[in-house]
Amino acid sequence: MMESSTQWLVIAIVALPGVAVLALGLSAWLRRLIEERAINAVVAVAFAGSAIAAAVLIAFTAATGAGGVIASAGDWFAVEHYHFTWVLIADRLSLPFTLFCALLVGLIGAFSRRYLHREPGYLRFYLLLALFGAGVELVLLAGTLDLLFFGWEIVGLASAMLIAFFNERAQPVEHGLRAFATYRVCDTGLLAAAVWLHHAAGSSTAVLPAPGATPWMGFVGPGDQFQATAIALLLLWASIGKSAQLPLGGWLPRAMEGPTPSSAIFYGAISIHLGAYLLLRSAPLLEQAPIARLMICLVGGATALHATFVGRVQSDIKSALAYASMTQVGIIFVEIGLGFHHLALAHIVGHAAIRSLQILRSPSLLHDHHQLERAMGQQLPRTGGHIERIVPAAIQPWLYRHALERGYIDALLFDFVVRPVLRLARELDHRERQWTSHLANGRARPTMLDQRDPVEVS
Amino acid sequence: MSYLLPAMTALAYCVSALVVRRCTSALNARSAATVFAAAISAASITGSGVAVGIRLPIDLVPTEAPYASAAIAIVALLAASLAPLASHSPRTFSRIFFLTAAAQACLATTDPLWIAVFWCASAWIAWAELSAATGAGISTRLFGLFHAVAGALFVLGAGLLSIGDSPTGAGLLLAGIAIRAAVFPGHSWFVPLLEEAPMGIAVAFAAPQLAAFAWVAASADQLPGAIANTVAGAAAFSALFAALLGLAQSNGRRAMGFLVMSQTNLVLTGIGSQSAIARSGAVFTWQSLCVAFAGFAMALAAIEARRGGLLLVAGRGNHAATPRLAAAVLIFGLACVGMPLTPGFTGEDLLLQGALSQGLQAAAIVATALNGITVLRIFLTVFSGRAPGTGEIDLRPSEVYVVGAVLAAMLAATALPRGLIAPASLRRAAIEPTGPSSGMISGNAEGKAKPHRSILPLVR
Repeated sequence: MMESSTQWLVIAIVALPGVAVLALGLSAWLRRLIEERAINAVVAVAFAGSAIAAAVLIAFTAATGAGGVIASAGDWFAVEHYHFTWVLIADRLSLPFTLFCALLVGLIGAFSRRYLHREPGYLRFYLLLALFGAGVELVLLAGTLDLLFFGWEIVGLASAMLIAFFNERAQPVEHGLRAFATYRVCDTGLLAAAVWLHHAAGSSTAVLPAPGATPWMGFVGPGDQFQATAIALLLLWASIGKSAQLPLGGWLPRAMEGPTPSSAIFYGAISIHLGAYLLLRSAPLLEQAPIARLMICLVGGATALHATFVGRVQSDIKSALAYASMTQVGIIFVEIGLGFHHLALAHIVGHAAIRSLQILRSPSLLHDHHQLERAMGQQLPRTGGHIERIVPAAIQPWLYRHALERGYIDALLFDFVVRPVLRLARELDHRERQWTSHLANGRARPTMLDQRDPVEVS
Repeated sequence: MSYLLPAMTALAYCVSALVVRRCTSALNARSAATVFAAAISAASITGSGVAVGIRLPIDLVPTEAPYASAAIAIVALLAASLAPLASHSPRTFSRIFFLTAAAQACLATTDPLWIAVFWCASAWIAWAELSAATGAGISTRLFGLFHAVAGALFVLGAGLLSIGDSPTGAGLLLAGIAIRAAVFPGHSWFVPLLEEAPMGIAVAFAAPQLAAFAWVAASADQLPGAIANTVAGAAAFSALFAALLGLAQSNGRRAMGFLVMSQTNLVLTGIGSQSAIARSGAVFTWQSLCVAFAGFAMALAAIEARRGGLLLVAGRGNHAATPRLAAAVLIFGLACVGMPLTPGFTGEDLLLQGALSQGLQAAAIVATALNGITVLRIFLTVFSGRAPGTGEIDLRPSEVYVVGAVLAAMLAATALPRGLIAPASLRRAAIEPTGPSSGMISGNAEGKAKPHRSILPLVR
């Protein structure tokens, strides 16, 4: 009886936000004029319920000493030996996150009530926020890589749609598309990993850890080390996109075009850490792949160094905070690569809390500084003096220029990856038009060669 | 073998087409067509549900794709109800119904001669409308050229198979199927059709994907594995090629054309993958793509009719003025590429998990990723901006009911996909999978697939 109740609680953590999405989606389609208060109430009730369910489960596992609760809703669909199963895992890794995320989404919902008051897209914002929350809870509780991918894609879509929330302006739309393109390219890694894991290991379900191994359930690779390494590298590729690590982190500062509350929860708190979470959930697999762990350390370390310098020369607070987030997530990657899983877990929660607060307060930065200066009776002291001491004076101008140009990484990516791909696509399109014209007796058709890049990278 | 429900549905569409043709104005024709299509769709969905739920002594629906008839009926409903009046005359509405009737008739039979007749009839109807709408334009010429060849190859292949010349007949049959499914290099007719034809006609012709059905109907015991593998490989390449070209477009219709071409080729990749899982996924994707493509294309046609063009340049839309239209474009578009929370996700998941070749899987994964970018790019550019005074209106009430009902049906299919997946007894009829390990597909010593019972025996 108790076991059944706890399983229902696990399902409720995901189901309640899902119901909120359905309710808000239906009202948006029917164009019923719902009061802002009612919209808030739907989101608040859903995520409060989610948070309560997570809190009860934490209390239950703490009281009973159980490692966690596994809830299975059975096969969603199955053909031959392949089963897509709804397995949710509420354990020591996922439960703190689910509680934290449910609380944070609820808080952001309450904060946005005033921030977006009378905004034309008010309902759309809350619909996307609820969709994001449901996707995140699914990612956190997913017991199979297939299910994790399901939630992962929902999070990516909600993220891009919220970046492009102010769609009457060109920049947010462009940046939303850029973030989505980065997500899609990197999500190929997660999908390929899930498919590979099924073929090589027969299943992508998380399993209980061996005694003395990782402290929570996780995805396990096949016995063959080459395959385990390849799958781990695919997961790293997926994490790089979602967590804005080098060399694909250029979308993050641009993502701040969205409403501040969504920026806070996505890029200060939750979405940015999902890559790290995926790696933590894949800890048993990473144990089998030392090369992949080394790569995680390298990517994280390089990102942390790059972002800390670039962040210091930004002239707007949101970009500075975006790079600060990248720095911390890079350090978290290093911690995961080195095997400090509990440290990484604590680092994620602590960083998410402080960063989301900073982003939420960012529109009031000047006001806050004035208050601080009044309280101190003097100007705020300069920060970053240690960098000036560590870095030799001869290198400082070069480093400053490098940081101003954001490491030239976006430009290099555009010149050596995006532009050639688009050029190839346009060339193929040109040939295609020539061929069809030739087939239709030489009738001329306009070509696309003289037009601007359809996916412009600013 | 014949199936009663598609046959009855085809007959109903023929009668409706004759009635719609007599309407005096396009407005009346659209109203009448919407009512007829809604009634037939409701009957078809109910009939398919009955056929799946209750074992009857008669063959009501094709067993491997029990909801295909209902899906094609929904295509006709979307094509009729969202068709812009400026480009759709009463005769065009009538042809939409005749095209749907031909597609339903194909589902109703397993006789190769009758399939060939309906296959060619649908091509002729579409060509006639193209000729009337665009004159001797590029799309008409290309369509005529490619479909004359495809029809001839299919008829010849079916004929040779029936007299026992298996390898040659199978090769010709698959060549015809490949052209009809827009597999590279036989694809050049597809995008011009979607660019220039009245959208209702383009949708009614392309969305049912008769080529995919013909391959399923032909079944693998008639088709040597090596040939099937070749076509599956070509389809995977075509999916990737089209997905890449979709990124380079600045015209909404053309971008959509490459997007749909890419996804259609993924269906063919799954059918040719020689695995029961991939085959189930392909059939599922076929049915969901059928509806999603129709909704996506017709919603874009509605925007085009309101705006006078569909250039993918940001700043010309007004999301606040057309929120339902925007939602329809986004949801149908995402359903085309198999995003989660749409039925396409189930199909593509099965398709990827079942494909036995890593090359096919990689091509499918990358193509789907690129297509997702194209969908969001179309959505964001078409609905961005706050163009003043354009007078763009949202979906009309009748369109709201139709699109809302179709979205509800898609949600139900997403939540409960099992009913749309072929029963295990039929899946066993497909070529047995070689197990969970990866690797290239290989036929037996003669280069043929393992013999098995035909699902819809095209040639007995």
